[in-house]
Amino acid sequence: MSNTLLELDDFSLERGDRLLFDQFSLHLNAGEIVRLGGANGAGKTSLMRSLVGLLLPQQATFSWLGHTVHGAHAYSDEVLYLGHKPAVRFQLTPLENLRWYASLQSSQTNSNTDEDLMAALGALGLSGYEDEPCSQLSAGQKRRVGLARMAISRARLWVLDEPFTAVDAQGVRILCNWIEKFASEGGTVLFTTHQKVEFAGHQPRVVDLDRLGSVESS
Amino acid sequence: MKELVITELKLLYRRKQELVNPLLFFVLVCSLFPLAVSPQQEVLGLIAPGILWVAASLASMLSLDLLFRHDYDDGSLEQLTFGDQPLYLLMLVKIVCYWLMTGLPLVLISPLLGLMLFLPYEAMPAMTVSLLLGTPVLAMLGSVGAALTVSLRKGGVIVALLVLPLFMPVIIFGSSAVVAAAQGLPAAGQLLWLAAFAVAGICLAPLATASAVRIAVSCD
Repeated sequence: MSNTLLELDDFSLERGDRLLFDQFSLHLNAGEIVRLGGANGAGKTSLMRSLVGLLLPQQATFSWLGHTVHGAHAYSDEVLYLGHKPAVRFQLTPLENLRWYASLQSSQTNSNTDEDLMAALGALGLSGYEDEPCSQLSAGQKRRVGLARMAISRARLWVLDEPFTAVDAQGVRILCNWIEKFASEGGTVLFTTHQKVEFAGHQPRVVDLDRLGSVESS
Repeated sequence: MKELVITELKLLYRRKQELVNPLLFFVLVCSLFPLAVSPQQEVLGLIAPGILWVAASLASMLSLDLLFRHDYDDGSLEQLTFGDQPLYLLMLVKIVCYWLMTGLPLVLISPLLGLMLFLPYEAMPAMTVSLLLGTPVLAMLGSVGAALTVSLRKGGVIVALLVLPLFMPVIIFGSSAVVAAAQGLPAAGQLLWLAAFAVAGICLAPLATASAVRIAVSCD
């Protein structure tokens, strides 16, 4: 059963004076884990930023849940995007950072209590650090504060740009578990990584940008 | 929404050094005039409205970087464009909190500086009210400039070039209200103009700022 969440067609993007994408298509189904592959500079980040509306492509058609929408902004409230910048404020504690994110997420369904946020931080091994300013944490811990958003997000699509950077092996396992659990609940994950990651059940579909246009399943 | 306001105020409060800068600048510039021009009452009292207004405008411009720079650098700004809160409202929250922490202290300390500059007593209320109405407008106008230049590494001078011309009407009405009050004339007209600017600024500036922020995060 193909249950399409997001369809991107006719995607053309120029960066500087290089044509990164020409008439590229990417279809993401519900419950699917997709890994974007490609060398440095292949356009992984540009593609992800275009998908979430942070970059305006020269040309593209977006279709969300089968309806054509005229830009990625139409569904940006259904997206969790974790980019290269951690979006973690050093002056705030991990708990305050998550609270801020939770309040951005849900104006109606304010169901993330402080206990939920503490649990999310605890799951990533940050219990005991909730009230420490983030400037006192290590690089990997700061990264984890940003990643804890995955546990409290209500999004349907996760777009994760190099989520495993600076995260140790045990942390990567936890994140992979979260990704799989999310996918088995019908969520869609698009991610990039240069590390070797293993999922217990799912085998992620690989979209290799080095061979543009050829979308292959493995 | 309450959580967003609290976070914003906390963040600003924890960047104390940067908060103190505009206030110190305001005080220092005002205290240079008696030294450089003349400490005499007749001279200073005459130019005090202008000094206070120009110094307050420059001080508000100095701190504009505080509004978006950190959020842009750590990626929080791009996160604001997700979620189901309208960007207009998020910008309004940011600007109001920013004004509370940088503009309001300027207003509160201005009577003291007025005394130092021999501003006539009868002009004191008009001066305070004009700054109370005017500095939010400066913050609103400044936020557009700050958002437009946040993606530039060296945006400092460009912000000044963008924003200072827009500050002019505010400075004209603000200082002329104080001058009028010092001469014993009614200042209500100019103050009402400032109030009108403030209302227009609150309604329109966050719209422009929100669009500028969208452009800034996509320039990355």
